[in-house]
Amino acid sequence: MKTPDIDLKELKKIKEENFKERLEFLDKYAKWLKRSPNKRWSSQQKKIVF
Amino acid sequence: MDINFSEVGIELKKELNSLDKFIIDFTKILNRLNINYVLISGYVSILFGRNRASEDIDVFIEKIDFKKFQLLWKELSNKFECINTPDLNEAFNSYLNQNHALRFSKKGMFIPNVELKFPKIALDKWGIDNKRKVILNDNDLFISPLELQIPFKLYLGTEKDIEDARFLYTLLKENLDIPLLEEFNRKLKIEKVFNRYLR
Repeated sequence: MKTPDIDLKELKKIKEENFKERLEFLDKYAKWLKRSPNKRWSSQQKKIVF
Repeated sequence: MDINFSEVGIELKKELNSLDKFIIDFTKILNRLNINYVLISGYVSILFGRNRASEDIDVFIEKIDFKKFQLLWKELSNKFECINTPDLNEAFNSYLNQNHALRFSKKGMFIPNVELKFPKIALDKWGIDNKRKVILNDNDLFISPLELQIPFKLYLGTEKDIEDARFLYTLLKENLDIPLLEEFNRKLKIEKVFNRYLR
């Protein structure tokens, strides 16, 4: 099975970009939490946190 | 664990958790529209039994044109909504087509969500071209090959990623194409990490 060449510099850049996007999402989520009643956000959280 | 690796795919029957149900709902639409996709990263280890939470599921979809995206958007709109933007044109032109992820949750929810993205590099595309089918309680899901997922988790290198890699490798190593996995270890230059944590 032929596998692709991997440019590790490019991959490092993508890793950093993905991290930045995740941080932006966390900001957005935190802002949403701030303006949401506890019942609303916690009912969503309980579905994914054991 | 009862799990069956065959030519058809990886067959797994289990009690579905909320993330499983969420992604089954989402991927049914991708399957119906014949859009190639793969599930990657953390959910793959949860799918195979790891006990940890995740607020998102990463999905690569093949590059599709605007017309096909319109169809997808329309189908998704029945149950899901886009967190980034409610605007179809902006979703495609400013996010997906610019290699930024789009996030979709169930209507009125924020989590869990699907992080949907186009492949950026050849490695991402390789995952889609070589997707593996998982038959989960008669539902078809497609994942990026574990022989890539495990090395890639080691490449990412956080404690959580290394734990996921170790879990998947320990659980499924008898069914993996080890030379292929080792090739990715070499290409990602993570042989030392592999030998330290997984060997």
